Amino acid sequence: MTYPVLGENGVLVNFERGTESWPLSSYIGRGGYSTAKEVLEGKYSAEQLLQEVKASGLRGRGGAGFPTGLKWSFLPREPQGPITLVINADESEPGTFKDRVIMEENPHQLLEGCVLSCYAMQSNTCYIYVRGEYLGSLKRMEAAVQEAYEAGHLGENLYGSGFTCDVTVHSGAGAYICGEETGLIESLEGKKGQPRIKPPFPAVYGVFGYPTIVNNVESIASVVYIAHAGAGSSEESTGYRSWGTEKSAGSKMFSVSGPVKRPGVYEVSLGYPFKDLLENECGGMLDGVALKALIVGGSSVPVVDAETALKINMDYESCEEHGTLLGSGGVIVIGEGTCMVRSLMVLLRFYHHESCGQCTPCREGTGWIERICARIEYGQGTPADIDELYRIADGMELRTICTLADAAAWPTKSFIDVFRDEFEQHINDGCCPYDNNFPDYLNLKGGGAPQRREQPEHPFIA
Amino acid sequence: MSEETSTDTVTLTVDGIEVTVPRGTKVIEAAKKVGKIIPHFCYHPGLPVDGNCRMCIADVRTWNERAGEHVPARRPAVTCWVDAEDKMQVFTETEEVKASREKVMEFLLINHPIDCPICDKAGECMLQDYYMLHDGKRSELRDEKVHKPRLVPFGERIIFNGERCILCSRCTRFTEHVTETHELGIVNRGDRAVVTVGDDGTFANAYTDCVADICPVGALTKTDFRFKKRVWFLKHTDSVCGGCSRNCNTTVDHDGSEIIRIMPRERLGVNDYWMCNEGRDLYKELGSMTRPAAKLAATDESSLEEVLQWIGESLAAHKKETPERAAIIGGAWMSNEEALALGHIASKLKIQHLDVKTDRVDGYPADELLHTDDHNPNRRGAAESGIVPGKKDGKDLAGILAALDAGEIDTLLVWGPGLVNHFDDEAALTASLGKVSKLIQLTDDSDAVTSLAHAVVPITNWAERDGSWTNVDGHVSHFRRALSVGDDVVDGYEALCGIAEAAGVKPPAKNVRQARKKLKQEGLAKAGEVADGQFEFPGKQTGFRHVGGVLET
Repeated sequence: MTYPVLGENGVLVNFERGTESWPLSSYIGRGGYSTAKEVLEGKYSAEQLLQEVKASGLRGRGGAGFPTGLKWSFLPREPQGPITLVINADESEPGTFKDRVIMEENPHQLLEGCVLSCYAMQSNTCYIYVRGEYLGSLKRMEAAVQEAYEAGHLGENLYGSGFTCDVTVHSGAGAYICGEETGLIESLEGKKGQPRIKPPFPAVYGVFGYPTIVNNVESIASVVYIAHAGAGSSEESTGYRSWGTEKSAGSKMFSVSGPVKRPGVYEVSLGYPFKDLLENECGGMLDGVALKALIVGGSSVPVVDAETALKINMDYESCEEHGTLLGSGGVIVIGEGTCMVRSLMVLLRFYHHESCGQCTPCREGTGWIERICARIEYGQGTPADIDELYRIADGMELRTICTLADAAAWPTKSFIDVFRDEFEQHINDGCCPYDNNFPDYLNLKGGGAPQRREQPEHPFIA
Repeated sequence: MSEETSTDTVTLTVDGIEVTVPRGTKVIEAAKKVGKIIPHFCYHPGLPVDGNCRMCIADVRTWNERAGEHVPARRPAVTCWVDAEDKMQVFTETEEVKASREKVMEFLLINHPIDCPICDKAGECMLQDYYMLHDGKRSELRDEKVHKPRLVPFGERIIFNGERCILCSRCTRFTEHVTETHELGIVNRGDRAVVTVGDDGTFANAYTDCVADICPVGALTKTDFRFKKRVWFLKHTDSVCGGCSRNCNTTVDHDGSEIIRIMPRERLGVNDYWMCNEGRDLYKELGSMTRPAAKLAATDESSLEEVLQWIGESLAAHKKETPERAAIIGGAWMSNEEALALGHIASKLKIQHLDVKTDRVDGYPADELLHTDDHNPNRRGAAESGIVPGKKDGKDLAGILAALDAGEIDTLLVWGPGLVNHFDDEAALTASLGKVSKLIQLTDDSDAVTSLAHAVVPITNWAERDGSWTNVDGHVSHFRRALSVGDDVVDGYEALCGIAEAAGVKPPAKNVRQARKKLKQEGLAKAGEVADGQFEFPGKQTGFRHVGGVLET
């Protein structure tokens, strides 16, 4: 069985990487906005398009993997006020940088997706909430929106159909939590980005109290292809379902980082084996570095060891089968020579920094486990600390408004599950075995026996 | 139950006990109805729900019609947020629920300084109470705790300690939704989050002390109460604030001889859960009051019995021939019971000139939350309970004052201080009252009238007597005696009984308790006794209810 690599004619990467693919002219040249025109001229009714998206099996590409069409169908039949579409471009999950490629290299496909999605859910307003740090994406999106307005692909009475779609680009201010859909909505409203308690879900009570759908950039950009080629089926050679597996339909962009020869963003069919992704697209591991572990879907998902990693196929079911999650597609490859305790410490520092501070378990727990983990890393751990870490992570899980606490707890538990011996070694040796003993590819000085280092001051806690 | 009402109420079980509540009631409130207090920190019935402390998590199972069984929530439910539903099952005491609470307590306590021995909240601290009830474990934290600003003044009345704070956001929600003054906010994220005052640094609205009341821990303490008294030494007496005609229900906290502080008491429809700073300071006015000694100018005798006897006889002397030459000016601080007695005496002695004066004129201006523009508690109640001005040929206050000036009044009884408020100055008062041959004052504070009066009876103040007041909206609130008085001071109601007997009138009731009963029987002083209602604020997301069945991964 062969897995098509979408490459030039892919769902999202339908251009040659490295060329000037973002201007409107380039997008029109590869058939851009023709789908929106066709649909608005009567190819699909709004309801038909929604059904087509439902039939395509498209699942949210932001991490949770909730079926996109099903999400849209939660909108009230008789909404009290305007429906709003919000594009979640606050891509902040460590290891994930795929939406950035869409926004920077193919922004018009996202805009066309916005028009089509708005049409399907009978909305006239769309916000694109771009991560604060993504200045490049923000500029490209703003330029693209202006181009599209000038060329009549956005705005009032599109293609003479009477349908209006307005897109506003909004910049975040640099908070991971604003990638959570209700946190994003609060931030978009001008408030502090703190997730709301659900229910009510945004489909009923969203931006400014009106029905709102929040979708990931990749999901919405994929809608263009679904509207163009139809949902199809896995037996056919066209249509969205011709890619992917039965349950995980379509293509997915993976952002690969770590000691591989060609790290970067690759669009592949769902179900593509990780082994192939690593060997073919990424050119394999760096010379002399062996695969040690893999985080397959962004930092929040459980880590797996090398043996398991090579068995994983890049789809929702296979990941779950091997004890992890596909998540947002942020593939973090971890090579031999990397200290797993230190990796976990760095991850936990991130969650500690980004916890919004609303719910008790997350606010206090993220800092607590980070401090314990840092203590172990710097040789100050006690044998009881490992179980303590596990116990605290357990206490954080499922007790909070949003899933940030879970996102900190899952990697903690999986790091301990998979690499417990490494934690124990830190505690027994009283220092980090990798200190002063860096892998060659990092080109750092050092060498010789591991040395104990003093724990530095915390970077953001006085 | 008729079909009509069944749509407005829902019936659920809490730990197996069935309870019916209005639709839209939160599970935590439904549980409260059957005596199950689900532990909580951030939930406050007077504030919009925030659901951040995660303490009130319980096992909530909703009835799934399709599956024909009860299904637990996918993420554990916070009972302060979830609406009660028909056939819902709530379990508040299972092992999992208890374990969940213990875990939340652990998180709350790791960075808490546990400085209970020097914390003013100790003894009435929710964190302390729940620690004893639910956790009780020794600290397992080996690492340094998170440090935050301490001893931060929030305005002049509140001191903030960031380390004790559990970030429940009650205080910020209070300034956001109750006073709508928006002074407080939480800045920074995660465990660096800290409550702070707004840009200009002022926290000076009229209700700032409420944030210390609702603070579940000792993060916000009142400068007035700090280090004054351990709370377990305090005796609590139900009282009512007389600072304005709102009549906020309060608790007077005292040690038997001295009032230490005044706290608001929940009374929906009157003050709900709040009270103003001015009302809290009212006890300080008591300290500056100078109660006169009993005085009878005609003789050198000054025993209370003698004075009351003389007053009774003086009033009774007018009954047969000259009732129009006697007048009574009641106070707006009298209790309903006292007003009943005084009105009763007046009517039996045929004294028709009677009215209520304004005892106190200074105070906060009226606002939309609690303050009214009348800085006296019982103008309405006094009038409703007995001191009805302008009956038949009777004169009202303006009439009485004019008659005083004209020398048409021989005997005048004044209740309480403050008559000068109705004159241009003290000289005018002296000139006017000089024409009265028998000036009588029953008062708890000396004023210009006291020095002129021919008979003075020192009576108890609001903290020293039992009674009731009727507020501006007609709600009656009862206050009880907190402090005791010596033999040289007589209870207001008893003084009136003494006067009545001396005047040959049978008092309307033999004590305050009986008088209250009588007021109730006669339909007076019970207007507006309201049933407790659901308290609503236009807060974050309120008005939007549970959307059944929609769950997202």
